[in-house]
Amino acid sequence: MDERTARDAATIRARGALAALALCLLLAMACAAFALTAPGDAAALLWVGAALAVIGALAALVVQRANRRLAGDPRDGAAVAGMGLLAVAVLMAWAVGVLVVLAVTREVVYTLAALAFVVLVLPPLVMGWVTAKGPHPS
Amino acid sequence: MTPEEILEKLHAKWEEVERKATALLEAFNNTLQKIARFSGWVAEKAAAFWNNTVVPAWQKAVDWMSEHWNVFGAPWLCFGAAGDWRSGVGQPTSERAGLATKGQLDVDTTWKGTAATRYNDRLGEQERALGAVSEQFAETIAASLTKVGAGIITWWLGIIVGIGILVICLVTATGEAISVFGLPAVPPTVYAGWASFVGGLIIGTGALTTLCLLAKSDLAGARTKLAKFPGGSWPAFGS
Repeated sequence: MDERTARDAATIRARGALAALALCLLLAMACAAFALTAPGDAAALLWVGAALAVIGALAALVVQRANRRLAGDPRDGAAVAGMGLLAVAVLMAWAVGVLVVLAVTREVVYTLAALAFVVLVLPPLVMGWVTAKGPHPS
Repeated sequence: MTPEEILEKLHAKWEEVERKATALLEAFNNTLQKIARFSGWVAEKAAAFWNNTVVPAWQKAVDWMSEHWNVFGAPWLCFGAAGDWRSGVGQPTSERAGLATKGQLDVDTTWKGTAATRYNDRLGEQERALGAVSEQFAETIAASLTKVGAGIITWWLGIIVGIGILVICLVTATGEAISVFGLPAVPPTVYAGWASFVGGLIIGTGALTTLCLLAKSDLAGARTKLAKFPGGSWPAFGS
């Protein structure tokens, strides 16, 4: 893979990551809007969802910055390697979110719903995977 | 932003997905034409991937969405109804349960005899039955409605994320497809988009189904535990 193509691809991925950031912020707003009207335990679940979506937005920002770096220097290995760490951090945040819902609601049903909230951190995870996949200069 | 506006935005996003998919198809075809000039077999392979994998998956998704588009559900109505059950049924009956106890009326202490004893014995049953309307029925129904509402929201989130990532990946893949050297990156990006779309649907649908089944089980449980309603009906006052 030549450097110019890798630079162009990184620029496109940076835009994609920015869109992922916007998507996560939209999800955070949707969760917060519903949390304001939801009763009791459902409100706790949705506030955790809003927090996870904000974390997803921050992770998408990290992916965007990594791609900006790759657009400047396509051989920047640290930017690619950082995607693995980012994925672990995001998944840890999700796991903590599930435990918080369990601790606050003490209900299996809401804990299961919190497990499904992995979708809220999916945008940065997918963009991180696409970034790690490349194309990178050989 | 109201839930109706969110739904409207989702409709618009889906239309955008359809437009982006068409743009990707055009970009892919244009690049294939360029490749075909000097390497026909690469173009053949890419066309086979497109026709055998991407297009059928796309068609399936479009069919599924058009079938389920108008049955989204309204979580705000579930939450509103849950509140109504608590404030309109549970709370008033709970407050009145305390009135069905001995000592509320002068007749409770002045009235003596066999009939008075029978009456006083039955007062406790009335109090328990009134209390159960709130605890056993109103609260269970409200909690079940809340669970279904939360399930619908989780399903929406899955759909929004699925569509959102698909749009992002299709746009990214379209950008990659305009260059011959970038073409190898197109399949993984498209796969990631489709996998996220399918994953979002499965996770959202799974969560909604689980929450609805658990809510149904709670309601069925409330109907079968009738200890405070002798014989499954409201306790009689006199017999």
